[in-house]
Amino acid sequence: MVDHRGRRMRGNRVVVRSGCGRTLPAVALAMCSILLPLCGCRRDSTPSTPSVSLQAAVPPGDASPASVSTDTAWLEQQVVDLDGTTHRLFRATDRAALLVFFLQDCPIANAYAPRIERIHQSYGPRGIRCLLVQVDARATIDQLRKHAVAYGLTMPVMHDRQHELVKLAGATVSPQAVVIDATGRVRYSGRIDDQYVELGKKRPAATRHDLTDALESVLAGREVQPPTTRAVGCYLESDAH
Amino acid sequence: MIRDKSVSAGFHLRVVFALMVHFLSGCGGGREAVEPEAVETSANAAGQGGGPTFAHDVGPIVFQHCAVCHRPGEGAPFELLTYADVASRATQIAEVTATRYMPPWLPEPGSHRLAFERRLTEAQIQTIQAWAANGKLRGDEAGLPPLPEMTTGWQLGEPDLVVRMDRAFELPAEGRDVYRNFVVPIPLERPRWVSAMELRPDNRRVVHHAFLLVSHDGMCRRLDAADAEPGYEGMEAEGAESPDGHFVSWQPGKMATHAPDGMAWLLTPGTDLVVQMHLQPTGKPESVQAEVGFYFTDQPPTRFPMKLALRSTEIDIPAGVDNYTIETRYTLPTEVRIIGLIPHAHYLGKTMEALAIRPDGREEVLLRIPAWDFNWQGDYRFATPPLLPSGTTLVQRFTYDNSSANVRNPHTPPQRVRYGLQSVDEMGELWFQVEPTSPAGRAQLQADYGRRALQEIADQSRRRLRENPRDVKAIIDLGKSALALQGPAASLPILRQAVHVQANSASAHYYLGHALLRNGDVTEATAEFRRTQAIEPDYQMAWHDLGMIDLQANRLKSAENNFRRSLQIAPYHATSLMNLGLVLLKQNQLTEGIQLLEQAMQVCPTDQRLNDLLQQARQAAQQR
Repeated sequence: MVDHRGRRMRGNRVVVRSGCGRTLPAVALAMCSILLPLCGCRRDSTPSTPSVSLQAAVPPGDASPASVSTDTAWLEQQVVDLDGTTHRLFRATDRAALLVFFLQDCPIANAYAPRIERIHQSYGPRGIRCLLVQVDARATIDQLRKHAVAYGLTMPVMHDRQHELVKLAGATVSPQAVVIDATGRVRYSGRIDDQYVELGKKRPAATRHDLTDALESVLAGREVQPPTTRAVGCYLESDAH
Repeated sequence: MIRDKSVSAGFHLRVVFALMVHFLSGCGGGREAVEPEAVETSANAAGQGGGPTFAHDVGPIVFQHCAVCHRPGEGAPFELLTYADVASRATQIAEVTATRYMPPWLPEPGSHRLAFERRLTEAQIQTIQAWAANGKLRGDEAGLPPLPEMTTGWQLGEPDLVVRMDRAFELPAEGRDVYRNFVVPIPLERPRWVSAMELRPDNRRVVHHAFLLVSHDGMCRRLDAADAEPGYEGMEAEGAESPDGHFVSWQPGKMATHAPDGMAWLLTPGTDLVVQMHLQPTGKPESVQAEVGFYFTDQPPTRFPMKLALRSTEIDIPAGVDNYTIETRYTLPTEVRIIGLIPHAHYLGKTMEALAIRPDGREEVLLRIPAWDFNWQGDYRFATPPLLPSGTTLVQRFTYDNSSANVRNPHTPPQRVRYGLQSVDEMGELWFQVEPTSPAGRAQLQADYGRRALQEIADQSRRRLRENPRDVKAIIDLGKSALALQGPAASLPILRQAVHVQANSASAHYYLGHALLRNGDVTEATAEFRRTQAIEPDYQMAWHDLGMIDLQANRLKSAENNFRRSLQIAPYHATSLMNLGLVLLKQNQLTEGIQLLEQAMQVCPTDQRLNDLLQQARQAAQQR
């Protein structure tokens, strides 16, 4: 057993503050409204958005992953953490990004929290940018902040309230891992490992570690095989926000 | 899990009854389940406006069947109390109801309706599917029925006695499921009749299911003391037994209930409560501390159901076999009502059937579980207990999947799995709770089923001895069953072998002494009891049997001392109470003698011999 109390302490560092909350400074608000059309800004009011890709990414009525994994979409993608700070998804040194889509009250996702944190701890230093993407539109920033501390999650946490990232990645389940390499290509999308076979049916322990295998492949410059797997967990409702 | 030491010891069958803790999820306040027709009608009625709505169709189903657990403070992971709660999980709800993962209810309908069924009808499932697929319409929520009334405190009201684990158990953030048995002393000044027990874990999210058991001999305390953490590991709660054979199981959504009239059970001072909890790591460190409420009654029991087990201890499943079958049968020697039943297997269990074949050949399905899931085990009670005539054969048929296709298989790759109590072993038990329809039938069933149980113990002991000829417990069990089935002469060579194999076993010496006593070899028996006491001074039954020797020799004072010593160690040992009472009666101490017989009667309310003795004593006292 891992002693998680140590992690819990480290978890206090997690940045958790309103991404697009009401109390944001004007600059952040502006950034936010440009990059992620939250905050009640309508997308058509931001014609100068750099994300042509975003427009392409979310055609009305179509959120299939095939249409969203264009290189520019991911390369230009920006994300806002719980502190309200906007980041480019990719930093100069990142070799790949790992997004883990997560519903904070999904028991399967939560059961994976220690594994997700371990992956962050071991692959972060190897150039993998690990981000936890909270997708429950009804969750408050405070809830998400507390969640990260309770589960010892020390990676940056994003609140994808409007499911921008969900749509771009074509994520359907919590937890679902999506790995994007530095050229903006989605290299893996699916489960973390094979412990859960279906809802209510799990192995005593995982026998295949698909996500870490995928990360190893990406780091080694190999194609990921298989590039997609079926994630088992809580469904992300397309209109939940 | 439902071991009964009195059965395995092969002495007498205990009074049995299940404290039926099944309660329908969603049926707070005893509301009746929605009938399928009713739902169909409502779905159709809503259909005119373009499909089912939350207000009219889906909300009532969710409130009735899901909300009891999916609410704050309960075990389920999220709330399902509002349109937004339900709509934001519509796809998931549609899937888990279609696969019948939720609400959790393993049996398919059989020949007799089960009480407190938590099963959605096909029509209800279709309604949810249609709603999720067709825009999750809200409808006019003015028409939504109110949420069922749900208690947040003790479901049965303020208990007469509350006991609590003395400290919390810390569950790690991840790892395999934990089966932990927590031993809680019950502070009791006098024996009480228990009509209900209610479990309240403070952290329900981690408790998947639980059983409430008792321990009379301090063994569980010793097991608990073995490590620094509270409780001790084990899926089968070694050393604990169901209280007087009453099954008290707990699952999220199952409500505590009182025993039906006349079916309370006796709790004696000195008894420990053993709370067995199946704990599932949640991803963060958790702590859990449970309390249990006891509800007493002054009404002694008047109905004495019994517990019968059909089981196989010969389970031996080769690696890779995906349809290993066990089948056991028992033909009832008398008419009974079947009150309920509990099936039990571990992770390889696949399907389960309990059948009744009537004397005329008609076959009935008492229970059929098409996809066993250890996580949702519990007890089942019939809405109306079926009456089965003498000559009815009860059948247990379980199948197991020890292939890699069974994802719950604890071994990767699969390995040969045999009968055993550990989670990586396998079991196959089907417990029936039956009520014989007459006292004579009850005696007949006790004798007939008792022989069967002893024979099972003998068979199992022989198998254990083939594995390890020096297994002294197995030798003693074989000797005990030989004593009961064939008489002392047959048991003596076996029990002498036990003493030979392990000279420092107090039990071996005691049972050899007991068999010698039954055989009339009083001197040799006395010597064996002295050897027993040299090893273990507080071996209670040795004091009792020495008292018997004195009683037979009419050494009343010495007999009295020995029985009193026996009762110091085990204050509610019925036979010691009875025999001490007899000694006092013989010494003309009628009042105390009668008191002791009455106490014995309280512990063993169906013992005819004891009852006769008590009547005689009372008559004698009146004539005085």
